[in-house]
Amino acid sequence: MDIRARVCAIISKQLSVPEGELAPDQHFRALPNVDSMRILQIILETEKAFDIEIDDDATFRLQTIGEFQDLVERLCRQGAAT
Amino acid sequence: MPDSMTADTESNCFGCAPRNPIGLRLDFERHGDVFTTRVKLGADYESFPGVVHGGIVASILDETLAQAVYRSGRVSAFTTGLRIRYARPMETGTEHTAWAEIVKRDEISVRATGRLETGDGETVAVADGTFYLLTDEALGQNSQRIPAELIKVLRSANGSAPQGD
Repeated sequence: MDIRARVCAIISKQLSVPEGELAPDQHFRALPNVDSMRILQIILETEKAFDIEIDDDATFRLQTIGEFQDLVERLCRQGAAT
Repeated sequence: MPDSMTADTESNCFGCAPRNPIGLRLDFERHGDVFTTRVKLGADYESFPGVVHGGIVASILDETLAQAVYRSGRVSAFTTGLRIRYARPMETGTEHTAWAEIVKRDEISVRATGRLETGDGETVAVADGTFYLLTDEALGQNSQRIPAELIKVLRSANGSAPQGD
């Protein structure tokens, strides 16, 4: 499973939304069951899964699932390069 | 400072000393590898009305992580890094639970993680911390930077059981 799919799986699990219903252009705020606690949980799960550290401002800066996937991919690349 | 100092000394720790009138007076229990405390704070600790100040939330979690570090290894430690992420306000007058556990340990430092939750188990804040172990060797290496009296107290606390265990 690639990074983008794994990120989707984490979001799906935390929000109890089927992965098939998640798309890169979807806004987090428009997803069902979203609140600040679940967003934090998604970030924590993602950090743990990929062994990365996501900046605190990601919570309110990221708008869409695709932006979050881009960020995780970038952090994974940076981690692999160091 | 974890209550490694309370057994034989008069600790005034803001987090855990039972007689500090303005302190949090946190009392800890061990459940396997997890260390917990229950906390309910009033208006003296507010930021916005009805909301506990974020710095106090950080103090609760710092103390909880530090207690996990000390109680799991019987060696005192200084906090060298603490990351807090807030999910929702901590309300005054409501009981919350904080817990912490050790993530990684080596001879020099310990990493711990913890969480503050409402009575319903909703996450208020999450903490990740790194702690520098004040082993006898570390105290010797840092003897120029740590007051001599504190070194003496820390040496005597290393290896001793804290109250409540």
